Amino acid sequence: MDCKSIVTKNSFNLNNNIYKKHVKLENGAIYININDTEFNNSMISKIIKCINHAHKKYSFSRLPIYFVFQEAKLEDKLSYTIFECICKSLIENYGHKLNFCYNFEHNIITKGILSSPLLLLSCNDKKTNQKNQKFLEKFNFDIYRNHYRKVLKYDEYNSEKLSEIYDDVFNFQKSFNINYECIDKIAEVVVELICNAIEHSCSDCLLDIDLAPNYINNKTGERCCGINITVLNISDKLLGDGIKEKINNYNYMEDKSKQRYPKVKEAYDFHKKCFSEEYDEVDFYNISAFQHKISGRKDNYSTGGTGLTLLIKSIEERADSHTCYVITGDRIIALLPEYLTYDENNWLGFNDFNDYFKHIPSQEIINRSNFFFPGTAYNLNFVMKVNNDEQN
Amino acid sequence: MMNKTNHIKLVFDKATTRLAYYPYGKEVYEQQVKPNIDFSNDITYIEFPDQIVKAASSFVQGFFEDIISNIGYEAIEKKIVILSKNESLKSSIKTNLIF
Repeated sequence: MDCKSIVTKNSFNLNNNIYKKHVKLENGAIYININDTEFNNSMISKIIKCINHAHKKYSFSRLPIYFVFQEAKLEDKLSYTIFECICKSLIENYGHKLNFCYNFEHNIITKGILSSPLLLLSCNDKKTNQKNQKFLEKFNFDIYRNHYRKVLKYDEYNSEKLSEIYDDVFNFQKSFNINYECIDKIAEVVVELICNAIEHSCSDCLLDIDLAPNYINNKTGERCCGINITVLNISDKLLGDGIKEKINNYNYMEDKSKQRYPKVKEAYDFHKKCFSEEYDEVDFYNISAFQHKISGRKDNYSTGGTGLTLLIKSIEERADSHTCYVITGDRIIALLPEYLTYDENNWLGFNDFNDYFKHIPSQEIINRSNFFFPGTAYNLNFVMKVNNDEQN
Repeated sequence: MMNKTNHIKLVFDKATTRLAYYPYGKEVYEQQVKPNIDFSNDITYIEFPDQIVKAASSFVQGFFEDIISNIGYEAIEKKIVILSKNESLKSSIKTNLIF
């Protein structure tokens, strides 16, 4: 998995003065000091800018880097997973030795930080060479207790082996006494996201799942468990690219259904009249990627579209709370259950009117990322009720 | 007049209980179903082994793509019968085909 493009795709528009105060050279090492109190999309953007500033200022030297974070609250799992990818690139592609000084506040949806490879880079451990190597190993694979993490190589997993992952993800959740139907659906969502990543972007895919048991829901007093998932791939092909290409090169003769793809074009013709700075063609194709029987897959018109949103919605509706979104390029799409209802013809409007054809998506759905993510990354956090007292 | 039927028994790795991936669905269809299916028959029985409990949408789409191209969605229910001891598998295939 080549994470370098997360750094390189965000190397423009550097205002050196802004980041000067965060980046310092001390005792032959680069110190990147981050004072923000929330570890989120905005903080990742700042980190990348600091790295690019340091690279520019110190001419790509392989100096050790110390990331020094003040007390910060982790906002979701994907943010720190993307930071893990950045660290991997700094070690592998740029030859830096990394050290990580942190004081993070975590909760049920971010408890996975305790099993993150980032902890191996701790400033307290002075064996820099070893810990950087261990980080890379753990980045690629870690299955231990509440944590399941694998980098699925495209060459290896472009096959029946994905069925094994489906079994693995289901079985991994089984011992946490969560409702059978939920873990069944979660396993399907996860495997379909991986299948999409591997098939459509022809790239490796990172899967990280952590389960956070032994929490109590303050409102209901019931025991609950966090199921926290990231699925990400790094690729030039973004979420809506396949659909865009297919609509632009629509082959009427090959499409035996002759119904759904022309309807996407029909929706596009309406939406383009409403394009603005906040909502444009990229957003349109991103939301179209979630439509029923619409797929970016080439040469396939009769099936396609895996009903993912329906699955995600049904899990969200069973959850005490949830945070689900996808980031692709510089766009974020919030997967809010109130906007994930199909109309009678199985179109998804992502708006209050539940109308894909005559209304653009709600403002709550479409957001901008502070940095460009070169690929597609899902953050799925669910807090689920636990069935009985037995728990890991 | 007797219905013309045929019966195709699928084989999977014994350790596999769940199926996923569109290309894999296509591959299983191409290798195990296509050589044996005759769309002029009234009914084709496709039997999954007992250990298979679920098929994800991607697998179902790959597996049924050629069948849908040949007989259409409407005829599937009449002409293709899925045999499995697991209701969860039959239901996942049906749901993923309809949806």
